[in-house]
Amino acid sequence: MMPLSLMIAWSHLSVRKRQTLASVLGVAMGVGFFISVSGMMKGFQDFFRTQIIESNAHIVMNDEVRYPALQPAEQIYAGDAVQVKRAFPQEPVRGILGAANILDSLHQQGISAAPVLRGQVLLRRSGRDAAVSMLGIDPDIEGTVTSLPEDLIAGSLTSLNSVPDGVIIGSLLADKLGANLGDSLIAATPASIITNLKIVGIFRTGLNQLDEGQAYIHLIKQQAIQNRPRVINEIRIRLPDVSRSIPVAADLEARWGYKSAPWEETNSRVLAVFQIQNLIIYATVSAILIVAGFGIFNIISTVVLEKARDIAILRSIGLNSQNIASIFVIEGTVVGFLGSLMGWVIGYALSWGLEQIPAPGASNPNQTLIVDSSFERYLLAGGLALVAAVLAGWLPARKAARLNPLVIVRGAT
Amino acid sequence: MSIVLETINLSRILTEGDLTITLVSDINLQLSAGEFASIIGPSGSGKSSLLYLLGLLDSPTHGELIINGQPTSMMQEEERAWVRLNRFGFVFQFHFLLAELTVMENVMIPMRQLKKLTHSQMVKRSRELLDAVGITDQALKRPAQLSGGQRQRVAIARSLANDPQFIFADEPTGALDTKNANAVFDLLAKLAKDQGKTVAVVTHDEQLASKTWRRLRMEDGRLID
Repeated sequence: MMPLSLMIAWSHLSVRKRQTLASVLGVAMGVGFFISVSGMMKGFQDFFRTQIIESNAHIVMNDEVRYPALQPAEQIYAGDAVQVKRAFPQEPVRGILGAANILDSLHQQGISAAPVLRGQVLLRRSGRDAAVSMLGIDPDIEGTVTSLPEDLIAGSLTSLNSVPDGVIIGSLLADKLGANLGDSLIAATPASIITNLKIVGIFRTGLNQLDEGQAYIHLIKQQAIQNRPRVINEIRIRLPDVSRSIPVAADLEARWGYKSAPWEETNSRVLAVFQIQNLIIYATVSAILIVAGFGIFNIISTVVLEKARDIAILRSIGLNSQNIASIFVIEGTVVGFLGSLMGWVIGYALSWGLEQIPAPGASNPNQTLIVDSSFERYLLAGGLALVAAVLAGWLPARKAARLNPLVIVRGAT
Repeated sequence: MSIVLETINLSRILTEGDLTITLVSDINLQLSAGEFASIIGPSGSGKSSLLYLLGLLDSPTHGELIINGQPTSMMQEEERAWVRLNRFGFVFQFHFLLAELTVMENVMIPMRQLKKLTHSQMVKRSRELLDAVGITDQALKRPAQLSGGQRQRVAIARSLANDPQFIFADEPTGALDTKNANAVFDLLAKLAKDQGKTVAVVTHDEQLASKTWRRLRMEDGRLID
């Protein structure tokens, strides 16, 4: 048997079918948009995050140090207020010293790591120039730290071994230079060495920054054209568990002294943009729910006003103020519950619809929008809607509970 | 007859700013089981106010109300609601039926709040009550489909739902024609006589009041007799 409060609440709602339906739809719309829009945003961010993690190393150690090294004069007078002017700074050999030791140590710990010499190179072809960040890599182990082998859309990574002057460039750069697999490029380095390179591979990661501004040659070739024999200035590291990137990077930096940036740091700007995006999206979709809450507040307030007589008679019969309040809280809850259920259906349908839309600006033309539809998202949307609805019912319910039955009974006579 | 309700210097004074209005002043009265009493007097004499005090719908500013030997002035609202639910039945000038519910559902409200009967027992009892007030065949209609006299009978049936010890009626016939009004008073008299309920009715109609067994006359908030 239905409890009395629920029966009365239901009778109020079922008599006002049109108003109730409008309130339920308001909640449903809010929940539906919350699920689909925030899901789309999450899907996009997850996709982007995966791209970053897959295409880049998890940790990049390079030959920089966080703070400039103390000059000898400063070391002698450490702690004193000494100003050293016109000191001729020490010029250490640039590059990671003892890189072989570091690599060995990492490999022993079961962590994949690959040496890189990074340096600027100007590529030229048929009058078109492009400044790129050239990475000298070891083709045999590069695949263990980045997804370069999978990102290749033409050619192969091992060609770098067989073709000494082979180069692998990004798809956007290839378009920009009008070059294709097998074409030659002229390369000029800061060390004033000009050489010819032959395209042996083209990659596409989907990240414009890489596809347009990065190229790979063999490490030994890079050391030669940069005039830095046997030097490497970057160690790219891939962890078995990407979530450990921050503590592992901190350990490495503490142990070896070289700046070791986890991918979160390298891409901190992108991640910050994600946070702002999330803030805006959640504020917007929550606003829809708040508006829906006002709708519920409106209908229940009207019912409380209309039903003042009913409230009075129920009080005189022996219902206490909590019983009265529960009637209207139940009304809000019922609207919120039905709205959430309907909103889940709407959210599911909208998510499906969005997934059919081609993703704008995607490198892969078959790529459609990705919508994250985790169960937690549905629970969150439903939960928020229910909280808004209960609150919207509770405010007028409190008023109803405080109503003095005597005023109404007396007023009517 | 045993005394079931007693008042000692019962007073209700309304204060609004500097203004004080004495609604009810120093009422001393006793009601026995099975008594059918009317409270009469001109409008504004405080008869309804007294009834609300007796029915625990309002609280006195001074004095004491004793029900079945229990003083009520220290009771919390929860307790007062419990007494109203278990011991009292109210009938007002207007029927105050819930428009969305059927006649039978309206009669069942106090039983559902009391939660002592099963659903089928409640249905059975509400049918008996509607039978007793002579509208068995209207059980599944909504209040709007009934005449004024029929609605007031439903309200009486509802007031009897939990087999109350007391029935308080405030101008129960105010909205009814003479024929219906007489029928309602006869019904109340029967309840007092056959079932030993204590019935107190507020009315300004002397002719109807003459049907009751005891008349309490009020003027300016005081009992005069």
